[in-house]
Amino acid sequence: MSTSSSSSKKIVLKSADNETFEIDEIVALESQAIKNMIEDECADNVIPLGNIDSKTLSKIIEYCKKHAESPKKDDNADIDEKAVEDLKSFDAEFAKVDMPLIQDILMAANFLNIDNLIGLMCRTIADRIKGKTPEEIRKILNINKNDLLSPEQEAKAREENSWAFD
Amino acid sequence: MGDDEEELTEEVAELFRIETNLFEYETPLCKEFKEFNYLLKIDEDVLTSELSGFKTYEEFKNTWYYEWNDQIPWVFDKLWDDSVLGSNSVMRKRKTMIMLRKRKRMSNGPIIAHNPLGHAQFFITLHIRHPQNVLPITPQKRREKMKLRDGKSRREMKLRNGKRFCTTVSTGRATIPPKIPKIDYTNSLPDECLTLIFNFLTTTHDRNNSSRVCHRWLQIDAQTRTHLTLNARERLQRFIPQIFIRFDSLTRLVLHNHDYNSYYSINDKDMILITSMCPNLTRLKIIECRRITDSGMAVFSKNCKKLKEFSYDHCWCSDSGIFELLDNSSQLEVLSVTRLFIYSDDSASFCAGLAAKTLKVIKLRHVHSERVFQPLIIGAKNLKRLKLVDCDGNWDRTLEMIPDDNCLVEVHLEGVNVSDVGLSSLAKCRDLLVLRIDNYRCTDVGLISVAENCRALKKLYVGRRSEIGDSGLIAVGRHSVNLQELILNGVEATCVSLEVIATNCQNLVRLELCQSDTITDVEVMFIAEKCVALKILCIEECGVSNNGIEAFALGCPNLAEIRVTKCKKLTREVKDWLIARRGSLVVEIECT
Repeated sequence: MSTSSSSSKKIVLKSADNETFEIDEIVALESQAIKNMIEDECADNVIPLGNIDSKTLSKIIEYCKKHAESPKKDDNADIDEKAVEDLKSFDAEFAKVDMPLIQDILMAANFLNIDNLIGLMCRTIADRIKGKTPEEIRKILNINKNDLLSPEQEAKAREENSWAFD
Repeated sequence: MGDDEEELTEEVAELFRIETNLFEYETPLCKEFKEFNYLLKIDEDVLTSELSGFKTYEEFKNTWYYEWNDQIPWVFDKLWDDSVLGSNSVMRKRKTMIMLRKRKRMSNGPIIAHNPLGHAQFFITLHIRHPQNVLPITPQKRREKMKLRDGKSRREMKLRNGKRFCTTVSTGRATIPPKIPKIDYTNSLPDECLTLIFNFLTTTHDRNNSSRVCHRWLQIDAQTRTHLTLNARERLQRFIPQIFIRFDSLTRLVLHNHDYNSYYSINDKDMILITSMCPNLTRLKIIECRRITDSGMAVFSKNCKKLKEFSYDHCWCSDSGIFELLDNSSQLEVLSVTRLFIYSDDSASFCAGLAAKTLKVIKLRHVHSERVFQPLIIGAKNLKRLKLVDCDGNWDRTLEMIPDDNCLVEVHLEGVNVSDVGLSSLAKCRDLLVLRIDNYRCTDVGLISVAENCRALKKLYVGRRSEIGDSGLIAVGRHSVNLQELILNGVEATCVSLEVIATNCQNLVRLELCQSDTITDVEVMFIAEKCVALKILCIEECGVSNNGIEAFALGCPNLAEIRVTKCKKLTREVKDWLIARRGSLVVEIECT
C-alpha cells in the first residue's frame, strides 16, 4: 500500500461469490501460482478463483500485502530486526482465527501456492493439537468417525508407540 | 306398526342427518395442498420468485462456503422432526405469501394449515417438480449440507427408487448447537499439508498421540517419522519387524537400552535386521546396547551405506568394532564416541579407514586410548572439528602428526592428556576459529604459540585446569585481533592482559569472567572503558564490588546484557541503580 504508487500494475482477483479484489501486482506475486500465470501472460484481465470465497480471499490478501511490504531477507544483509519482529507478531495475530477459516485459508494458500502462509497455517494447526490426546485432537479437528482405528489397531499402534520416546 | 316404524325412522334420520357431503369434505390441510398445486400449474416458480432469502441450490452452492464461517451454529441432524418444521420463519413467510395470493384470488377467510408433516410432503413434491432444485449428492458435496442463512439447511433424502436428492428444508432449531459437528477439517487437506503439520509436531509424545487419531493420520505419521528413538531392551526384538515396517522412512535412529543395569539389550542379529530395514539411515546412535559385538558392528555397518553420523555411547564392543564400522562407512561425516572402555588386543591393523575421506567432525569423550583414532585424525583431510574431552592416552603425538594442510576450525581439549607440545602443534591450524583449552599441562607457552600463528581465532575458552595466565592472554590480545568471544574460567587474569585485549580486540562482543580473585573493580572499570563493542558481559565469583559495576552506567555503549552472580562484595542496590540509569540493558545481578 504505502510502497506502491497508483501507477503500479494492478491485478484483479475474482472470488467464488463474484466479488472482485483489485490488488497491486507485487502483492499478487506472493502467490507462486499467480506469479506463474503473470509470467505466462495469461493473467490479462481478471483472475477468477472459483474455489475461494471472498472472506477467505480478503484474509489472504491481507496477509500477502503485509508480507509484500516487509523487506525480503535476500534484499539486504542487515534486515531491520524490528520489521522481522513486526511480521512475527502480525503472523501470530493473523493465525488467531477459528478452525474452519484456518482450513479455508490453508486450502486456498495451497491452491495459490503461498509457501509462507501454508507454513503458518500448518504451524497453527500443529500448535493447537500439541499436548493433546487422540480424542481431544479428533474433537478439535472433527476427525471423520468412519476413519477411526479399530480397538485392535489402536492397541497395536499404542504398543509400538510405547517403545519410542524422546 | 309399519307406518309408525317408518315415521320413527324418518324422524331419527331427520335428527341425525348430516348436511355435508362427506366425500367432498376437505380438511384445511387438503385445501392448502390443492391450493399449492393449483398455483404451481399457473406458474412453476410462483413459490420461489418473490421470496427474498429463498435460494435455489445453484445459488446456495456458491455461498455456503463462507456462510459456515459466519458463527452460525451447527444444524441439528435429525431428519423430519415434526416439532421442528412448523415454527420456522422462512416457512411462515412462505405460508404468508401463499395466503396473500389466495386472498387476492378468493375473498375467503384465511385458511390455516397446521400439519407440519403436510409441508414436508409438499416440499418433496415441489422439488421433484423443480429439477433445478434436485441435485445428486457427490461425496465432496456432502459436506455442504451445512447450515445456511436463516437457519435453513440442505438435507439429503432418499427417495423410494433409491436415488438421493438434495432439498432445502427449514429447521426451527437452528440456534441450538449441535452434538456432533459435521466437517472433518483435515479431510479436504492434501497429504502435503498434513505432512507439514506433522513436521511441526516435534515431540515423540505428540507424534504418538497423533498417530492414533485415525487411519490417515497413522499412515502419514509413519511416512513422515524420520527420527525415532527406541528403547533397545531385549524385549524390543519381538516388535522390530512391525515397527520398522510401519516407519519405513527413517533417517535418524537412536537405540538406547534404557535399563541401565541390564546387560540384556538388543543383539547383533537385531541390529542387522534393523539396519537392513532402514536403507536410508543417515544418523545412528547406539547407547548402552551391551550385546552388540565387534563382529556385529562389522556386519550391520555394511547395511548402512548412507550413514553420515554415528554415535557410540557405552556399548560393550571394542575399538576394533568401531574401526570395522569406520572402514565400512564411505559417507561418514560425524563420529562421536563416548565411554569406550574396551580395547582389543589386536592393534596392528588400525589404519585411517574408509571414513577418513569424508569425516568432518570427531568427538571423543572418555576414550582411553588414541590407538584407533590417531590414524583417523591424521588421515581425515576434511576434518573441521575435533573435540577431545576427558580422554586418557597420549594425544600430544596425535596432534603433532596432524598435517600442515589441515582445515581444522574448532578444537576442544578439555581434561585431555595434552601438554604444551600438543597445544603448540595447533599453530599449524591457520583456519582455527574456536579453541577451548582446559588441561593441566597447558601453559602460557602453548597459548602464545597458538595465538601468534592462528590469527583468525574468534572464540577462546580457557578453563581452570590450565596454567595459563597474563602472559598467554597478552599474546592473544596482541595477535588475535578478530577475537569475538573470550571466556576465562578460573584464570588469574589482571588488568595488564585485559588492557591489551580491550585495546586490540575491537570486535569483542562477549566476555565471561568466572572464579577469579584477580578480577576486581579495577579490571571491570577497565573493561567498561575500553571494550566498545561488548554486548554481553558475565561475571561470576569474582572480587567485584558495587563501584566496579557502576562503571557500566556509562561504559560499553553497545552492552545489551550484564550478568553478575556469586560476587560477595555486591549489594542489592546496585542492580536498581544500574537499571535506573540504563533502561534498555538486561541486568541480572544476584547478591548473596
